[in-house]
Amino acid sequence: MISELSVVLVFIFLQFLIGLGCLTVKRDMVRLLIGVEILFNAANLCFVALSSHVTGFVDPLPQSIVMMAIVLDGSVIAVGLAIVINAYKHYGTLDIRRLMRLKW
Amino acid sequence: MNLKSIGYTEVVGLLVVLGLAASFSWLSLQVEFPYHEADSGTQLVPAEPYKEIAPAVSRFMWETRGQDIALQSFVIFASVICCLAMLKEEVPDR
Amino acid sequence: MVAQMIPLQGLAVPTPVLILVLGGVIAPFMGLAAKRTRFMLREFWAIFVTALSLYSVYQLYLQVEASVGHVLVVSSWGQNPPFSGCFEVDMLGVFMAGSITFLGVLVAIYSTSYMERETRLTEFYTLFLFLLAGLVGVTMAGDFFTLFIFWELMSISSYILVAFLKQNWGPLEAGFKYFVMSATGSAFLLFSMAFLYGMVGSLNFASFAVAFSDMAFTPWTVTLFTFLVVGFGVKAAIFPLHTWLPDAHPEAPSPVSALLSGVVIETGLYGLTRIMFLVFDPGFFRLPIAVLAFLTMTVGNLTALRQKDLKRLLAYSSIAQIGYMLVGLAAGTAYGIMGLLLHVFNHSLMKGVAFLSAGSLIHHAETRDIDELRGIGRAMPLTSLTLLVAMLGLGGIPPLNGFISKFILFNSAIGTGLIWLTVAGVLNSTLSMGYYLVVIKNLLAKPEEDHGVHEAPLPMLVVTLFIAVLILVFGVWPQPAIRVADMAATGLVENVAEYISAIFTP
Repeated sequence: MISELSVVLVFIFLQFLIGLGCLTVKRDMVRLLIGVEILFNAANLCFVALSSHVTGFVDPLPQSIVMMAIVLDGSVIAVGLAIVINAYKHYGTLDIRRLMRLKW
Repeated sequence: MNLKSIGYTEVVGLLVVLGLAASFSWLSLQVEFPYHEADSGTQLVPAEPYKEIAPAVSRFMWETRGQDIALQSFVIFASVICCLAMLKEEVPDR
Repeated sequence: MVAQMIPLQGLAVPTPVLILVLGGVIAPFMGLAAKRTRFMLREFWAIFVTALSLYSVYQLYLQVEASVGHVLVVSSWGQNPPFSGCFEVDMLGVFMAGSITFLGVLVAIYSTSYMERETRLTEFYTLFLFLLAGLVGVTMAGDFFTLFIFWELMSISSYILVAFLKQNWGPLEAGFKYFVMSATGSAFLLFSMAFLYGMVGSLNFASFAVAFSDMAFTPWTVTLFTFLVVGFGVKAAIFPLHTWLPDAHPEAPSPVSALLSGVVIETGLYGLTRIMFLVFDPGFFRLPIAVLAFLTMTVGNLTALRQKDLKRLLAYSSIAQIGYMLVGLAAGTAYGIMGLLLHVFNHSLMKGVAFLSAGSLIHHAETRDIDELRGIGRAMPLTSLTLLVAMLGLGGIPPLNGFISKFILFNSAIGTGLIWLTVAGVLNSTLSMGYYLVVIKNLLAKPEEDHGVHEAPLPMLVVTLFIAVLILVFGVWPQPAIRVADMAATGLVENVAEYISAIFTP
């Protein structure tokens, strides 16, 4: 018997894999930030999925945690974008494969 | 895309992704999640009066998580200072 | 026992965290005032705030020691803690906070003269204070989400402090790489929080300790363990996730490097230790952590042998030292954790002075290459002496404090049957002297031309000499540090019942 929780967890793990894949495959800096955002989103979804334990009742704890986690993730991505803007101003390109200068 | 352009790293990456996908789908479908197994009673909000969920959750959030909300405002302040530090022009202060 | 520190309309926060956070909020105004009056207000405010927070950590230590069961709880609105965010201050938290604020004061004094010619100093000191606030908050958190909030505060301050000297390309690339890896780690941490919530129903640490009294070896607990190790391990530079460190630590300004290597990665290790002991039992995580310890040590030491850049060599040495600390965690006993905590404190001093004096040398010589720094010992004798003391301490030479903590760590591994780990640790320690001696040889060699003695500026010199003297003092007389580390370790490993009862019986 497959419960509804298992089905939701499958999709959450799928989003997790998409986020990790985005981080490993993409070369544009902004796309890497989007990959990080997808990972954070998957984690928030996991909280929401695990919040409905008793039918007819709502558990307020994970909802408040998700609301606060969204704010924190947003500020982290904002800081990342500040770094990316500086990189663009400095080099005119956002391709990390051409910009890897720091060697072994 | 001919077969010569698929290098070694792409094959290894693809295998890792497939392995992770297989293990995660086995994990979530076959093995049951220990859902609230070690739970010791929770504070719940009834879902019946549908309009009352939001004020109840909000009251819960402010009363028991008020500390975290106040500290979160400092995180936002710190990220504002971070963006200022990164985007300011380099003018000597003295 | 419930204690309220500075109840601000019922919103109680431990005093050191409050001081550092408010100091960080007021620092931009100090910066505005400093621009008008041309007086060094920013630096003095940073030194004042960090010194005040060190004093309040000491007061908190006295209060924790005097309280029943050595645990204090600070929660919001005095609410019942299982669902509220709370701070739980025990000896371990006070020990780590003391380490952090102590290094913070010294680095603040150092950076008054190192960062003199830089721009955007207001933001530097503000982010510096927020970094310290985040670090102290992580060590005092009693609830997983409170820890996450301070974790993010610490993380975003450190991303920008690494990328601070943005006119060169190196810091930007290092900062971006560090950012991507560390943000991924935070996402893994959120995932593990979700799983723990799903299993237990609340996110309080004491609830975890109550709920997981026996941890079976099921697929979901293994997944939880993996996500936790990845989440904390990115910040703590454990083997496969350490690749951001050799780029980020050299490219950051030297005072920031000292803080990063000295306390930030140890705070990641603190988080891992705390969660491991609350959620799992030592038999569960002994073997994986032992394997990770072995790999981290070996990779750190072997790669450091090939380095030509002084700060990059010190960064790889940090990875190796984290490997030694993981040996203590793998042992899983109170003795092992005491070794881990003592090594955290000693490493913060030794790596702190190593990066600070390397910063003084680089500040004078304008190069980071070891071969080009040949003979600089003649030009800057006192600073080279402190770097020599730091290197000998890191290698584990007897009258210095590194020897004692390494001895306790490797001894604890023998006691729990991980003899191969002890042998590997001792061999790695010997191997590490290989690259430390290369640096020392280059410091003491004869230069091609003799420029005469040109010492570092006074604040930098005084700080590095002070820490070098402390390394020697703690090596000969380690009893105070061992006593506090012992109390902290027994509080973590054995007295979990008191930790639980402090929250569940208000």
